[in-house]
Amino acid sequence: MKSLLVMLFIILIQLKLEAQSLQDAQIITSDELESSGCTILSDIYQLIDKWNSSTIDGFNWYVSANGLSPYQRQRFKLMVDGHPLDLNIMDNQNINLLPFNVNNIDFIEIESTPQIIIGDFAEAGLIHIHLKKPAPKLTSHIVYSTGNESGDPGPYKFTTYASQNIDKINTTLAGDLKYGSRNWDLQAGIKQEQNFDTDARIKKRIEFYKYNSEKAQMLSGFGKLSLSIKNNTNSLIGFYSGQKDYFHIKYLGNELPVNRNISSTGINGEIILNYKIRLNYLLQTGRNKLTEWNGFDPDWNNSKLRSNLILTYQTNPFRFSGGISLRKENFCTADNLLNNSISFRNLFVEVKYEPGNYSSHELSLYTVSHNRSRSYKAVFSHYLKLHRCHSLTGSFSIFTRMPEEDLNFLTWNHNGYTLDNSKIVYAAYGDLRTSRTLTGDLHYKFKRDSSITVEVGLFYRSFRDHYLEEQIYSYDHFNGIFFTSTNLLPGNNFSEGGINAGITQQVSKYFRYKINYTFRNPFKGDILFKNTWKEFPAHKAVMTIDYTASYDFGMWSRLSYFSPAEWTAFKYVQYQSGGLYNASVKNSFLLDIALKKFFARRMIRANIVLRNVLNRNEFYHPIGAEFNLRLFIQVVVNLDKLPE
Amino acid sequence: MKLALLISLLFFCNILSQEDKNIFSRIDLSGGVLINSNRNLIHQYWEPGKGFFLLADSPFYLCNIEAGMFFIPYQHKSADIPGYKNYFFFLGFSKEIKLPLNLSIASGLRFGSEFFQFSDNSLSSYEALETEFAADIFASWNMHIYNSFHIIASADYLTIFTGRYIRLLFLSAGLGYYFDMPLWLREVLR
Repeated sequence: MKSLLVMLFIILIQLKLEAQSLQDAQIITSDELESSGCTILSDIYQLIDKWNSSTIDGFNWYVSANGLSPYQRQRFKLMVDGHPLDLNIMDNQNINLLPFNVNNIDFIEIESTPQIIIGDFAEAGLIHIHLKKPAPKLTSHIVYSTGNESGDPGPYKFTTYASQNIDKINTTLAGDLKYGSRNWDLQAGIKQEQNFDTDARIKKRIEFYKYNSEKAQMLSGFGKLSLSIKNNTNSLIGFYSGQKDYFHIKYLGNELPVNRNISSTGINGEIILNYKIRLNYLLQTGRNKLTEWNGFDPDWNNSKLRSNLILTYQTNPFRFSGGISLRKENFCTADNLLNNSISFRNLFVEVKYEPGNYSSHELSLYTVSHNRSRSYKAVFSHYLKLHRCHSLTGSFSIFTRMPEEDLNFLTWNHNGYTLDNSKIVYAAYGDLRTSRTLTGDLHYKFKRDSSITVEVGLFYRSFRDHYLEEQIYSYDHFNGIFFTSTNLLPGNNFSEGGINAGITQQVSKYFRYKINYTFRNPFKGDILFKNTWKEFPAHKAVMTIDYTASYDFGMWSRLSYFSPAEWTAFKYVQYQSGGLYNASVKNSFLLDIALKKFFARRMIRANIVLRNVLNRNEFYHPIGAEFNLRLFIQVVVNLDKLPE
Repeated sequence: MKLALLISLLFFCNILSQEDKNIFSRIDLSGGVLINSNRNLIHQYWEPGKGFFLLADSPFYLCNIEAGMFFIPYQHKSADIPGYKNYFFFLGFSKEIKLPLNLSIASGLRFGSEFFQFSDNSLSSYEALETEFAADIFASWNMHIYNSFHIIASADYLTIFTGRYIRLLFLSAGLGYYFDMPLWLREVLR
């Protein structure tokens, strides 16, 4: 590592350097979302180069950003127009609960290295969604999309060749109304989604509990008001999502019916005091609830209060930022808790040095205080433009984390929460300690004008003293359900490294392709950590072709390869289930095709999307649904000329 | 089938290379009779009757875009299973090659939804209807006969992606008529 830094320093001195943004975020534009036929928000996971994702039902996804966390911990941050939104319940953060649809998105910023973002320390990735700004008139949009998965029995259902029926999937109806003016704009929207858990590998678990419908449904709405007064911007955003869903509770091993309610209201803004100093603020309150549906009551009621204040001072070539962030979490349940409130005080400072157009360097320090404990986080980032076409980005972070910061099932279980007295066996072996993490990411980019970009990156992760949950599932063949106990094991160590590489080329006005490849390899570590990491494919390669034939017609396709993944928690399940389930998720080779066509001078957009065209085995989880060839149809009506 | 889909993908990439002023310039409507000529597992339970097809196609970049439907009834062979009506609603792309003597041939790919409407009053409306994704590769032969009229004969190989695939070979013949696309409709389609 030292020699690498020395080499970088020499390059810095000898070469003409040119500065740009340190951020090396992946940007997913609305055009990309339209072309790829994304119909629900979790479809964007398939567009993120460095992230892995897994799902049981196709609606609730678990992600890992660039190997920064295992699937067990869903610590990635979610933001909408600068508002942090915490959807996390029991380490399940379902992005589909956001109350808008894909059509409302202007662009998405994906961060895959640890960094401070608007007063939040995003140590395991960030998805920052930027909504489309209303045009200066009254407009409205209506979206309908639905999917159909192949593999139904068809007429064979009356014969001995009958197979499981799979109903419609991901049916969405959404609409919004927007009005823009010179100094203010307002938008509001509503979304309804339905999913049917009818896949044979899920259905039996749900049927065991005698629920009369496999339908999961969600109704959500949002409103946003933005105000600009003399270059100062302020926005008020509120949203609510209510969903009746079959929620997979890993501590039990099965899906249970829950009523999930998420709400959030917040105000944020930027006040420009003078040309050198600006102030950013945030005040937000929210609530995540799991309540009774069909007899099971998780009795989870977590209210949140958060505020940020950030002061930024810019004097070339330096930029200084500092701030304070307060966070308070209350937990309300019928169980007697030792402590039903947790609060954190965060202090942070960032210094950015940008001596010219050829380099920039940034140091970020962040501390989190809880009671008398503290965790510290530091990030050191560099951007060097080595030549007109060549650039190098480096990001190095070292941070500690208190177990309380996770605010997950563990946090409240240790305080007495019992999950509807469900007799969960959740045993801790040893004391939980503050964990330490070291990450390093080096990224070389060759970019010749706008036609071709070649990227190669190296990454390293080292985890020390992390706690992990160990489950070993057993299958009850008669009832079709799982059993498990959970061992909470502190003090796990692990390190891994890998490479990622990519090429993007705009071959012509009409034709663009992108190839991405990631390889990850564990170096050393404890067996439990290694097993957890086997849940990620070691090799991942994705090729995307985007073909825009004209302003009103386009075609998009993606060919992806994932090497096998191993889930040791399910190692006995294959034998116990007679082969219905398997601890291995086999390698997959998938082809998706999407067609996009506008009608009536772009007033109507239709997408026809075929997922898994080759109809190969598509699994993301050992006990998850098998996704066959699927056909999705999406229609978007843009009413841009409404009477005012 | 998989190979055909891959070839079709490359085919579309190749042909959709530039904007064409002929896009949606005319519309060709055709219809005719349809028979299911092959026999396999599904035919052990059901016997296909005579059906019909309706088709509309129009120039689209360097190919044609199509929308249409097939209908064919299937009679049950055993009293304990119901008969059904089979509807296939599709969207497709085809490439036409002109030949001498007012002849042309075309080939392409169609995909869409297959609807099975079972004829059994004891079934609920939910149970009486099944849908499934289907894809069809076809080759057709056209002969211009008079003014804007032409006769059409085609062979379709349809795969229905049920749990156990249903593969059907259809032979069809009919009459077609083409005319300039009305301006209002062209505006909507553009």
